[in-house]
Amino acid sequence: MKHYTSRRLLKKRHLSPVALGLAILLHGLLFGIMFIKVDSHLKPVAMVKAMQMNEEKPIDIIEASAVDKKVLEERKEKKKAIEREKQRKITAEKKRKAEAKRKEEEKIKKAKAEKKRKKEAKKKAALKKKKADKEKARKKAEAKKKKDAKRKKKLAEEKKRKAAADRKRKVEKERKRKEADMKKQLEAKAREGRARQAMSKYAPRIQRKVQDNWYLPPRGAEGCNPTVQVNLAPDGKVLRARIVKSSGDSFCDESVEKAFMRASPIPIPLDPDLYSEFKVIDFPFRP
Amino acid sequence: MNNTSKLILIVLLAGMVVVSGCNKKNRKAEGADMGNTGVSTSGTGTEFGPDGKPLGDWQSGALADLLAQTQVYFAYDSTELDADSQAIAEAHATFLSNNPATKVVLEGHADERGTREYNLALGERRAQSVADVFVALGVSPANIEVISYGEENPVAEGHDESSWRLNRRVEIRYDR
Amino acid sequence: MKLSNMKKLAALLIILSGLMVNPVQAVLTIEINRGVDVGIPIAIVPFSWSGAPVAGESMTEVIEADLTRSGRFDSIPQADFLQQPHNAKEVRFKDWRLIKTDYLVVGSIRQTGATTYNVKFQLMDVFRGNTLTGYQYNIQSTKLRNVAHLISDIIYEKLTGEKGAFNTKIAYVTVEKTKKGRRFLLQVADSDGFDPQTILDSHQPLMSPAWSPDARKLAYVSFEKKRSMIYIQRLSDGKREKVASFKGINSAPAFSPDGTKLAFVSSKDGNTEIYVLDLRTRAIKRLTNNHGIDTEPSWLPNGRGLVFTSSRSGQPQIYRMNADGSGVQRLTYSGKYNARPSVSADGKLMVMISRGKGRFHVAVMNLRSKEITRLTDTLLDESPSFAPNGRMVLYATEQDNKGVLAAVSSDGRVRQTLRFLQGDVREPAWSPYLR
Repeated sequence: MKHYTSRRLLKKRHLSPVALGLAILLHGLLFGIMFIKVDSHLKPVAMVKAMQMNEEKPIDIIEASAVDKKVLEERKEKKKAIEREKQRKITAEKKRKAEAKRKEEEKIKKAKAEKKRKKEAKKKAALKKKKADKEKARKKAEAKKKKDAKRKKKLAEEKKRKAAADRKRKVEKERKRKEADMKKQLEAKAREGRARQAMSKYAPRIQRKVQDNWYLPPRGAEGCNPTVQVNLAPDGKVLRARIVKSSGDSFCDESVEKAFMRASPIPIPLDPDLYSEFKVIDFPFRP
Repeated sequence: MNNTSKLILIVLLAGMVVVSGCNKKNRKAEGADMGNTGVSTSGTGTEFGPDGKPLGDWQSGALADLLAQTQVYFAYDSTELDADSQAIAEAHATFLSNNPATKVVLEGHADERGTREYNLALGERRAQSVADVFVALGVSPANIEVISYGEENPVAEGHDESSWRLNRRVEIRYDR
Repeated sequence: MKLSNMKKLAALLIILSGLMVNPVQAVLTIEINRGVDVGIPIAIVPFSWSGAPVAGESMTEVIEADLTRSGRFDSIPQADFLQQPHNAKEVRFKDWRLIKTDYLVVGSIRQTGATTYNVKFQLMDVFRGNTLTGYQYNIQSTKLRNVAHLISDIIYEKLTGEKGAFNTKIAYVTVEKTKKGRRFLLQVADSDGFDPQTILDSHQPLMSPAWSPDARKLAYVSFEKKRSMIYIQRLSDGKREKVASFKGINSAPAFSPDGTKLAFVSSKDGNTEIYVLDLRTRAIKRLTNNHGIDTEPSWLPNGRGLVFTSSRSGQPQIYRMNADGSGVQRLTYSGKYNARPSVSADGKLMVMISRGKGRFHVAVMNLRSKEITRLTDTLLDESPSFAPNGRMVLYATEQDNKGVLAAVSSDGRVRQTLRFLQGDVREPAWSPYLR
C-alpha cells in the first residue's frame, strides 16, 4: 500500500509536458521579439556608409611618371589605405557616433523596451504570478485535494492497515492464546505426569502407614467398610478425618478415625507444587 | 500249695478254658468237673469266697484265685471284656449264681482322658458289660447294682498309660 | 500371600489410573485393605488412695488384669507413664499421646468411714482429649474388688460395645488330699478366681456345677450317697434339694434359659439318655432314645433346642435337637472325638472339647459358618464354659501336675491361668450376668 502511495506522490511532482512547452514558447517569444528589433537598427547605418564612399573623387594623377606601377599601385594602395583609414575613421566615427546614437537610442529603446519589457515582464510576471498563483492555488487545491485524497487514502489505508493490524493482532492473539493453551495443556500434562508419579510413589507409603496404624475394631475387619475423607496440612499432618460413608457400626467408624489420628503425619511429598494433589485424600476401607 | 504253683494252675486252667472254647451253657457242668481234670488238689482247709463266707467244696483253688480278682480292665475307649476280664467275670458270676442271696456292686471307671460326663457313661457301660456276663450266667439282676464313677475315683494319678491302664476298670464289690 | 499383595497393588493402580482418565474429580483415593489385630492400648493409672489401706486390694491391678484377660486390651506398663493424674483435670494429654495409649483410666479411693469408701474413676480418650465416662461409688470395704470388676465392665462395654463379664462369678470343684482321704469342695469365686466361697464340702466326688439363669442357684452332681445324684442348691442360704436319684447315672444337669426346666442325663431306662425335668410340675420327659451314649445336654440361648454329645455314630460327636427331642442333626464331622458342647449367649459360637493327635483341647465352632478354631494346645483340657458375653471361655486343664482353671478369649488371642492357692481345680462354670 505504501508503495502505491509513493508512486502517486512522485507523479504529482512531475511538471505536465504541456505547461513546460508553453513556458518555453513564451520565453522564446519574448527573446525573439527582443532580437528582431535590434536587427532593424543596424541596417540603415551600413547604407549610409556605402553612399559616402561613392561620393568621394579619385586622387591626383599628375605625376604620372615613369613611376613604377607597383609603386604607383603602392601609392594608390597607400592612398587608398589612408583614405580608407580616414574613411574608416570617419566611418568609425560615424559608426561611433551612430553607435553612440544608436546606443543611445538603443539605450532609450532598451530602456523603453526594458520598461516595456519590465511592464511586460511585470505583466507577464503578474500573469505568471496569477497563473502561478492560479497554478499554485490549483496546485494547492490539487495538492489539498491530493492531500485530502492522500489523507483520506492515508486514513483509509490507515484504517485498512489498522484493520489489517487488528486482524493480524487478533490472529496473533488467537495464536498466542492457542499457544498458551497448548503450553498450559502441556504443562498440565507434565504436572499431571509428575503428580501421577508422586501418587504412585507415595500412595503405597500412605496406604502402609494407615494400615499399620489401623487397630481393628472389636468385631474385626469384616463388615467394616467406611470411607473417610482426610484433609492434610503441607507437612502431612492430619487436619481433619471425616467419615463420609459410615460403616453403620460406631466402633468401626471410631477405629478408622483413630487410625488417622495415630498415623499423623501422613507421608506426602514436600514439594509445594504437588501439595494440591495430596491435600484431600479419600480412603475407602475394604479389608 | 505255694504261690507259684497256684499261679501256674490258674494259667493252665485259663488256657484250657480259652482253648476249649466251651459253650457258656455248659459252664456249670464244667465247673463241676473242674476238680477232676488235671491237677489234684488236696481239698484241705477252708477257702473263703469274696463275700467272706467259706467256699464250698466244689469251689476250689483256681476259681478262688479268679474270685480274688475283683478288678477287670479295659482297653482305651472300649467297654468290651477281654479274655482275662471275661474269665474273672465268669468266675464271679459262677460264685454269685451259686450264692443267690449275695449281692454284688459293679463299679465302672474310666481314665482321665475325655470329658467327665462322657466318662461317667463309659464307666457305666463297662460295669454293665460285667453285669451282662453275670446275668447270662444266671445271676439275678436284682442282686446286681451297677454304679459308675467315671474318672472321679482313679487308683493311679499319673498322666500316662501306666496309670490310665489301671484306671480303666470295673470293680466287683460285695460289701457295701 | 504374594498374589493377594499383587492384587492389592493392581487395585490401587487401577484406582489411580482411573483418576487420570477423569482428572476433573481429582481427589486422590487410596484403598485400605487391612488393619492390625491388636488390643486397644489403655493406660490405667494407679488410683490415689487416702485412708486405711485394705490389704491385698489394688483396684488398678484388678482392672488391668480383667481388661488384659479379655484379650481385647493391651495395657501400657506403668513404668512408661510420664505423669500420675488422679482425675480428668490433672491429665496432660500430650504426655499420654507420647506413650501411644488410646485411652486412660484415672481414679481415686477415699475412706469415708470406718469401713466405707468413696471410689471415683474416669475414662479418657487420649486422642480427642476428652472424658468418655466416669462414675463414683460409695461402698463397704468388702466390695472394693466388686467395684473394680464393675469398673472393668464399664470400660469394656464403652470401648468394645459388648457387655463386660468381669463382675460375674465362677463355680468350680476343688479337691484336696487330707488324712481322711480326698476332700471335695464346690466353690464360687469372682470371675478372676479371687474370694472363693465354699458351697458344699464333701468326701465324695462332685461334678458338673450348673448355674440357674438368675445366678441364684447351682445344680450339681454329688456322689455323697455313693452314686451320682443331682442336687439344686440355693446360694443365698445353702438350702438344697435332691432332684434326680434314679437308678444308674444321674448327671449333667443344665437349666433351661428361662429357668423352668432342667435337662439331665439318666440311665434309668437301660442306657444313658437325655431327659428334661419340669421344675414346676416335676414331670420328666425323655428326649433321646438311642443305643449310643447320649449325654452333656446344653441349651440353645433361645430355649428352643439343645446341643449334646452322642456316640450313636460310633464315636462321641456333637448333635443338635429340638426341645422336644425331635430334629436331631449332627454338627461335628471333623475328628473322632467331639464332646461337651456349650453355646454362647448370643447363639453364635459353640465351644467344645475336641481330641486331635491324642490331645484334648478347647475348640470353638462358628455356628453360622461351621468353621472350627482351636483355642488351646494343651493336653487334657475339659469343661469349657462361656462367659455370659461369649467373649471368653473358662476351662480346666493341667499345669505342673495339678488341675488348674484357665481363661482363653474366644478368638484364641489371650490366655490366662487363674490363680488358686490350693488343691486340684476342675469343672468350672461361668455364671450368667449378676442382677
